[in-house]
Parts: sequence; C-alpha cells; structure tokens
Amino acid sequence: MAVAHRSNAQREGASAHRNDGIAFEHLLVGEEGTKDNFILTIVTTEEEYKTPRHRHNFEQIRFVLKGEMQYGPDHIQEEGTVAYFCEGTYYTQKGSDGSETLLLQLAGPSGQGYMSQRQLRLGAKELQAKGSFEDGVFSWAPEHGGRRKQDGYEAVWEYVNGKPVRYSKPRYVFPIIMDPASFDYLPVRGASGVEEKSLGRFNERGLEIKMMKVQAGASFDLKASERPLVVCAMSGEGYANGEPYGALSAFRVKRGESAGLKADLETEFFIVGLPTFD
Amino acid sequence: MNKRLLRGRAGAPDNYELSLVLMDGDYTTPRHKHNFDQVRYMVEGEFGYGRSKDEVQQQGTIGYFPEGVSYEQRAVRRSVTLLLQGGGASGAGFMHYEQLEAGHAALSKEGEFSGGVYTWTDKEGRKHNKDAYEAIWEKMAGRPLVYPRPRFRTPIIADASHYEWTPTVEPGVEARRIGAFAERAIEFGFLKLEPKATHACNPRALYYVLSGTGVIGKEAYRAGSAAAMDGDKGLSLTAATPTELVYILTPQFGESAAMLVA
Repeated sequence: MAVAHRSNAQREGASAHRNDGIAFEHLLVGEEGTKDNFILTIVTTEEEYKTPRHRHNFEQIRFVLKGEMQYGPDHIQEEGTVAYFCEGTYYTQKGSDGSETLLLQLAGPSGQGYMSQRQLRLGAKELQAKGSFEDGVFSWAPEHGGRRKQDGYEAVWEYVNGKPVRYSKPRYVFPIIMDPASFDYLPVRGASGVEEKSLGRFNERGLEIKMMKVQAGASFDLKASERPLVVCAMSGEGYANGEPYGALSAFRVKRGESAGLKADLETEFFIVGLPTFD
Repeated sequence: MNKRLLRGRAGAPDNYELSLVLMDGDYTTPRHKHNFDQVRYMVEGEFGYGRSKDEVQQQGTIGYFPEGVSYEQRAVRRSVTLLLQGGGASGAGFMHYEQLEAGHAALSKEGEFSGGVYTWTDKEGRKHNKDAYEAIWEKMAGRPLVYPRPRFRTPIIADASHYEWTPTVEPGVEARRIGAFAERAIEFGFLKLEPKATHACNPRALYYVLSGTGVIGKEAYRAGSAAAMDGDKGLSLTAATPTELVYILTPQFGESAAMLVA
C-alpha cells in the first residue's frame, strides 16, 4: 500500500476529446482492463470549460472541495457536498473559475469497466488522424461520404475497444447529491476515538460511500473485508501503514487487506468501497 | 384512501407503518417535509412529487423520501403506492395514526384545524397558526418539532427494472439490491424465489409479496401479503410458486416486537 499526495500527483490538462479549461491531478489509479478499474483525481475547472450533454458507461463520485460544479442548466453541486452519478445518467458540465473537485471515476455495476486515462488520451490522439474534436464532439468524414458527429468520449471508447459503446439505463433517475455535514457520526464498536457515517450503499454491486473520523492520538485498523477501498484524507495528519498522510493524501486498500491508521491530528477520511463482481 | 397493512411499536425510534395508498386524479399537497422517512413503491400508476414534469415517480419504481427533504404530492391519475412511513436516522420516530387522531382530538378543544393549518388563540389573546401535523406532533411529543437537516438534496428514485438480478448465497434466491441510505442504513430492494427456494428472513425486514405463493414463518402468503419480522430471528420464507417480493430493512435502532402477518 502506497500513500499518494497532492504535491506529487501527476498533472495533466484536458484530453483532446474535450475543451480546455480543465486540469487534472491524478492521485490514485486502478488496474487497466479490470472490471473494477478506477481513477481518483483532483479536478480544477475554469469558467470556459463546458461539455455537451452526455452520459457514461462508468460511474462518478464527486466531492466538491472548493467552489461549485454545474451539472445542468438548473443544477448546481455546492462546496462540501458529495454526488453520485450512476452510469447511464445524462448531464452537462459547466466549469466555474477555481472550482476544485475530488473526482472518483470507476467501473459501474454493468461490468464494462473504466477506460484508463492512458487509453483515453492515446485513443483521442490517434483518432485525430481520422477527424477532429470540437466542443467535446468528434466529427469525421466517412468513406461513403457525408459528415458524422459523435460525443468525443464515446468515439474514443469505441475506437479503443473496437465495439459500439453500450449504455446502461440509469438505475437512479437523477444524480444523488448528499450533504455529509447533515449526517451524524456514530461510534465504531470497539474502536475508541473512531466514528463513521455511512452516506449510502448503492446498486446491486454494492458501491459504498462513507466518512470516518479518527481523533488525534487514536489508531484504527481499516479493513477491506468485503470490497476494495479508496481512501482520501480530507483533513488531519497521521500515518497509514507507517507512511505519513496529510490533507488530500490518498491510498487504496485491496480486498482482504487492511491499513493501520494512526492520527496525529484529528482526521476525516472519505472512503469509497468499490463494487465487487463475484 | 389508505389500507394499513403493518405497524411497528409506538414510541420506538424504528416505529413504522406500512400501507397501500390509493390516490386519485385530484389529490395534491403543498410542498412540505417530514421528520420521518418514507419508502414508496409504485404498484400501479404514477405520482408527481415535485414541480418539474420530470419529478414523476413511474409505475414499478421505488423511491426513498428521506426525513427533512421537501416534496409535494400531485396525483397524475389513479395510483396505488406501497408506502412505508417510519422513523428516520435522526431518531425522531414516527407517530401512529391513532396518536395523530388523539392529538387532533385534544387540540380541537383548544383551537381549530382548517386547510392543513392549526389555529389557536393564546392567553394574551394572540392568534397563532401552525402546520397541522407539526402542531399535533408537538402536542403528543411534548417538545418542539425540529426537522433534521436534509442529508440528500432530493428524493431518490430508482428504476428497479434497470438493475440486474444477482445471485444470493441462498440457492434459488436472487436479489435486486437497490441501496442502503444514511447512517442508520434503511435498505430496500427486491427478492425473487424459485419454487421450493428458502430465504432466511432478516430480523429488520418488512416484506410485501408482489407475486407468488408460499409460507413465511408458519403462515401462508400470496400476492398482496405483507409480513414484518420485528426483530424475530430464525424465521424463513419458502416459495411454493415463483415469488417476487419487495423487502425493506428498517433503520438499525435495536430490539422490537413479534412477527405480524397481514
């Protein structure tokens, strides 16, 4: 288990399939090609960033760290809230200056996995030999004539995977927006100085979202018994399996493994249990 | 019109009432919120729960209406809803209809109800208005009603038909797990049993049979039957014919009473 820090995260701008005005700091990545692949990123947007109305064949969890995120003409996700966008949900995205979001993109319950950033960026680059991207849309001239347009991400996914994309019908009718501040912390049995609040467990593969608070001086053995965990410290300082962490440090706990946590300063962790497919 | 199926234990934080609600074409409510949770499964028809045309809960969908989240009711056409009303994660509990009626009778001696509002005059001769449910709740609880801060922005509507049936550890039993919500983990979904398949009932479960026949505990069930485990352990459900049912696990607050079959 390795602890990743914002200070040494891999930084990138927009992939060719979308507009400028967005920057990525990748904290954690899963395994390319696996059913439960994921990427945990801090996303910064500017006013100019916008996407066409689109949907995904994977899922997104968004924790707005700073500012707000607009996901439709009348839909704003405010600072401090957590959103779950299930696969198949349509939305548009409009940036706002200086907005920062902790974004987990992960495989959905349909089992189609999540195309890695490496595949996405390479695919988008190669596709530019066939056509061009503009405002998030790929357009090209087929051999039989005319002009075709397709959502940029969708075009790259089909190019990389060599088959048409298949969208699941959304399990939840709208994105689910949660305000963690309105949930109560409950003590964790047998763990002094440790509390947690479950925000929810979703879909038939059991995606789980919760927060955990560890008091200064307290220790806790965080076990990934049922599902792999993606963990991000939202505040505080301490050690995870002996490695130092601070605010916006992140680590992954593989299924069947555990992370020994020791908080020097009171720490709030944001924890996502990934879906399982067995 | 309500057909009351099952109820919990008055005064317990996980108290509940499971009903079938028949709504017709002209029923509406103002925008309001509750200090308890609701789970709504649309057995027949659909109903509007907000101002937007998209805020319509369609037949076959299941919705979680959390405590503290505002909504309204707008009948679209005749509908039948399986409605669970029960104590939410805040622990404020749920007031039974008998308590509601008793509170209404007591408050009617001191003021009057009109259009969902309770009006009374205090000793100094000042007139007061209050939401009728809120006034009754405060009378019965003997304390001010404090609405929990909304944990979720809106009601959560799930389309069960978009979920996969996934196998369980029980042979011949498959589940569509819709989700578990908030820190007390109210949970709901669907179960499907092949004939002769047996399901070990969860002590927190309420079941509503959508189709099929069989036995739950020692009692026969058929479409439209409902059962509450109310903390009983060791009970099981065995299908005689292919069975599909809704399950709801009430929030985790501890012990409760005996099993009921309606």
